[in-house]
Amino acid sequence: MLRINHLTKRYGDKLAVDDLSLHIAPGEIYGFIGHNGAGKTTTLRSVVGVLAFDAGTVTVDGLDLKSDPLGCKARLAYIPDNPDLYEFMTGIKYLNFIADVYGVSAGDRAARIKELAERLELTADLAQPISAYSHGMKQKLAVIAAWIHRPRLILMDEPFVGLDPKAAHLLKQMMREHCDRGGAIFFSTHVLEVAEKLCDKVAIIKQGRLIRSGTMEEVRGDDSLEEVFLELEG
Amino acid sequence: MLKILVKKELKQILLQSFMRNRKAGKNGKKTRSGKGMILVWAFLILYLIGIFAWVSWMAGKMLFAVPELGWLYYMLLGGGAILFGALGSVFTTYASLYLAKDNDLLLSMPIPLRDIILSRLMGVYLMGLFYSGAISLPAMVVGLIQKGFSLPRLAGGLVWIGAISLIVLALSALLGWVVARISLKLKNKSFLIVLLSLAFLGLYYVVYFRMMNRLPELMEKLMRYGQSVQSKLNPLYLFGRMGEGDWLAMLLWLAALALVLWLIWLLLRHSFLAVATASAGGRKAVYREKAARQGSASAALLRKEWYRFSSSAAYMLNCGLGLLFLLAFGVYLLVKGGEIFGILGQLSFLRADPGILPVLICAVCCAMGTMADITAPSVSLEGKTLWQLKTLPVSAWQILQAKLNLQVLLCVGPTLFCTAAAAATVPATLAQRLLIVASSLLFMLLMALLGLALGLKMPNLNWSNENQPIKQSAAVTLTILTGMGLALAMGGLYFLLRKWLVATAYLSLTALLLLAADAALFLWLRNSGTRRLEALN
Repeated sequence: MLRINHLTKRYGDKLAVDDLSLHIAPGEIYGFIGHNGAGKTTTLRSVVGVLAFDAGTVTVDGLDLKSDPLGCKARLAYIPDNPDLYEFMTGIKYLNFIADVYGVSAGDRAARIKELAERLELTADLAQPISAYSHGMKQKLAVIAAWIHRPRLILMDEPFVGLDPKAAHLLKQMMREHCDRGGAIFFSTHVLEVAEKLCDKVAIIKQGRLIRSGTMEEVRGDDSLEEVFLELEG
Repeated sequence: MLKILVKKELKQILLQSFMRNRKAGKNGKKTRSGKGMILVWAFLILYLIGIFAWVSWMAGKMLFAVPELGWLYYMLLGGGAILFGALGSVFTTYASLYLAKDNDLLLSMPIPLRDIILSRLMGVYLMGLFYSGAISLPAMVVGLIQKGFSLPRLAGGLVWIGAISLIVLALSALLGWVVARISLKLKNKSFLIVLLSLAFLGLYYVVYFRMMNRLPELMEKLMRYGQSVQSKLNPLYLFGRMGEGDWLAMLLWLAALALVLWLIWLLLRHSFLAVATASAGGRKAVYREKAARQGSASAALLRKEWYRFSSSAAYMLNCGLGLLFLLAFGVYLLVKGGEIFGILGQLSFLRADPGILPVLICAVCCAMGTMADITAPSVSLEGKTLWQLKTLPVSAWQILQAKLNLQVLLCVGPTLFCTAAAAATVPATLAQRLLIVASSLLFMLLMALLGLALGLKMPNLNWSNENQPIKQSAAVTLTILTGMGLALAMGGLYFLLRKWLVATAYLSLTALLLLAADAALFLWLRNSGTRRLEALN
């Protein structure tokens, strides 16, 4: 579903991502962990087309990001670490905007908005301007917007930050359901317990370089993910 | 603490104006001084000062000729400076004071509320000083030259300039407070704020220009009754006398201003916390499920641009004022056009070359539209939401097209109305009438293309309140100035070229040149412009 080969990204002289390669297969929830400034967000932003990268290739569902960026973007959804959404729109206008851009039919969008908003308990607030939303409500809206066009691949940067425990639990369920339907998820997190319980595979990045990746069992062995992470970071 | 906050405000204003970055769109660490921008701003300041120095010189020649009317010179130019200063800052006060994105952060820090408000007011004051100073400074210098230098006159002039900037601050702060009170009660307040601000400005405009219209009558009365009329106009008289170096006038005006500003300060201080931390007021809107129609991606992007524009009073007022000017000028021409053109037609030089009027009216129609610069801040206004557009399956060109289309769609109606009114009332041939409409439409398209191109060349995605990209950005300033310069050139060059070109040929050439400029900018946007947008982050 997502193949990252030798991805390299520099900010001036600083190497932010160094020759990173990863493969995320359909049905997989892939966790991405690393300390602050390790290169997680840069990797995610490069993969979704926000940042231009210096070397390497990214393919989404067999399509090359550089030669067919729109084809790739049509197949994926991205939720950034800080959901800066269009505050001048109401929640429902924002969702309709996203649905129009992705070509979601009127019938499908109505059904999906109803289902997702009810699940995330945001229905009553959809007529409110986004500027009046709390951080958690914006995060929920970003989740609905990401799911509304049924993307094949979803990338998320710290998706649980700002969500209440119930919403966080729901999001985990939604992630699993998405992958059970053949989709894939690649997300970064600092919450190692969540990664340990939720992820099929995990990758650890340090100073822009991938230092370990594989199934949860391969990465952690007999230890906890926290112990492995701290040992590798140390 | 106040010093640090004021320094931050000043740094922000300077960064918006003079600094660019190597990596487009990121002011801050990677900024470098843009020598080009400093030159542009120097040109802008000299341009404004030059125009107003000339106006002051003419006014001085007339008013300083009568010894008793020196005060009138300072009163009239001071009034103009206040109007210009208010235009420059009054629309933005509400957003600058209450909607700054770092309000929450600053309020959470151990900073006295007084310092936060004062530092914000400093930004408003500087904008007012910049605009009012463009008139008051050359007026003072001209006054010193024509009346002769003296120390009291220099002191009076400086106090007069300071008083004008404080009056502008008082007016801006007061309107900001009124808007803030209203916004606490309302949900969809953008259009109301626009109406309120325009009404405020309209009122000032009417009062000021009525006074200007009554100038001959006033002068006659002054000559006849002398001091008695001056005493009737006491505050205005004293305002003018202040510029002449009258110590008592200075003292009285400064005392009155201090009192007014103190009262406004009390109002602001009392309401600041409630307004700055309020969420959307009024009743919570209830969501009712409605069947949505599926639209195209391009239509969705255009709608998004419209929502952006119509949700912000500052954006509408500062970048859409040209639309109102066009409509107002169109109405004016329909009502008074025949009469005015009839009078003008009697002038000998216009009788000698009837082509002058169609050319000039075309230039004036274009000048009216230069205040419509919706595209200029639109790239910067994406700000931190740019990630959204960059992750959507839409091309950079579709994004730029949506920005362009909004301005074109909003401008085409008022431009057609205004130019049709001009074409219908001005004495001209059919070809000239058609060319007036065509040239004006091409000019409006050029403004949209130019604004977008400059917005891409000089983006600022890191702003703390929307006034920075809307009001204080080089892209917006340059777009308006270039538009005004082009409109001026359109009218002025005809006087140089009319020996060789008749008006129809001149208007045809203008239309062709505008078409060529439109095509060139369109191609630049299609190629380099899209690449620039893709490189922004």
